[in-house]
Amino acid sequence: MLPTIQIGPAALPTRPLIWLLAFYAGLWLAERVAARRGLAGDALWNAGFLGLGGGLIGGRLAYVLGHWAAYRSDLGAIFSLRPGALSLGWALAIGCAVALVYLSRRGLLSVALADAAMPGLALALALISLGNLLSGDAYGIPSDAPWAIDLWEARRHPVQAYEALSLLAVLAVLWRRRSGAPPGQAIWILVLGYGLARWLWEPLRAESWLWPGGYRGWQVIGLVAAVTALWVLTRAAAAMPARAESVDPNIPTRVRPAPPHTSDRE
Amino acid sequence: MRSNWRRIALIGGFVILGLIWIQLGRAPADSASAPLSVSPRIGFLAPDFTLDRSDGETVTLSDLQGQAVILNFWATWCAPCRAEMPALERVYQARRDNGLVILGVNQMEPKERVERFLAEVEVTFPIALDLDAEVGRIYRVHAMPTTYFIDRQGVIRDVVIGGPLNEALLQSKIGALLGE
Repeated sequence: MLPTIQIGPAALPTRPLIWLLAFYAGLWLAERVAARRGLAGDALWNAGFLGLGGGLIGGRLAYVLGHWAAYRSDLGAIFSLRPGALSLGWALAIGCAVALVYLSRRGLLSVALADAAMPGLALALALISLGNLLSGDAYGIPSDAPWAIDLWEARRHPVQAYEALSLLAVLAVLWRRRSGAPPGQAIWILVLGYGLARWLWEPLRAESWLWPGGYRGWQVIGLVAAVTALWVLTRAAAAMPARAESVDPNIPTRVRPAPPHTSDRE
Repeated sequence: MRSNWRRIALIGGFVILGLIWIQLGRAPADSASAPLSVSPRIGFLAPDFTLDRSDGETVTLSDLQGQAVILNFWATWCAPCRAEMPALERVYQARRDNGLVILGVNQMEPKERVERFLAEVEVTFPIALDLDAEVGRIYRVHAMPTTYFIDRQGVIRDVVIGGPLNEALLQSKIGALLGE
């Protein structure tokens, strides 16, 4: 386990460093894919960094407002660079909102751009899972498996690694998508892959968001997301061959007209 | 039409498989009341220890159960550690009557050096001397300052690596410890 990373004289906490690395790597990959498809890759960088800034400010403000009694007599502390005073959920929500508003106001928000961003998002999520493995967060339940790791006074499932591998598999699928795939397909592939990963590995996590009856909330949500994505993807796939069946099946094969030239279909 | 039914059958089969795994993956009924393990990790019981204090007394962490504890690992050569001492002292003075204890755990420094430092800085919260850094090792201290926030039941509620901590941040973490 590596709770801190030594950089010169400074020992920096691993988790926020990995989150920043994941953010940068995900954005880099998204920009590359977008540029390859002739989309506004630069806009993704701008949106990402605006979202990062907006998220940090919003997350700090949310934390301060939630603990106003502590901050009202020390207003200067609001501007402290101490990273501990941050509401993570609000930071993510506000950051995403800022990025989406930026893209929307420039008329760049499109399904095609979202599709292009999905490999980057899969990479970022995989790196975050690996970061959890390094920092000891999101750890697994005790296990006797030969590949179990020593963590927090027990041998445990390396559930962070299972998740990372699942997301890398999703990334591989997204990377191999052909360029003529239907718009939105990449989004649903990521939803399917990540939903499956949460559904499959959540019972091996030591800490879960529990619903009444002991049901694991993220596991249920993962299944619902995966089933929805599977429905959408299979429906789209089922619709595709119908476009090719444009000839009368009663006409014998020998005199069946040749299919139209490929360029006519585009 | 046939492909529609195949699709529905595929998805239906997956839903059934999914529900079976969800059922098998339910948390045990007694998981919420299961005894916590001891580990230097949020949500776990704080590892117990006994150390000599700078004033000649000894301190045992488990003796402080029933009070909220801020465990602050520090050293005199650590600039952020020195910088946050006044904030720790102000918070200690403000909340000690509410059941807060701040325990500074000095890492691997001779008693005389610590005493010289305390004569300059004037903190009144207890300072423990971890001369061989054994407690620091148990608590996986890799950087200083590292601060553990422990509630009245002895459970670690937060860990902050680095500093200096300001008074507002300390106050924002203390409320949860004291059950406010």
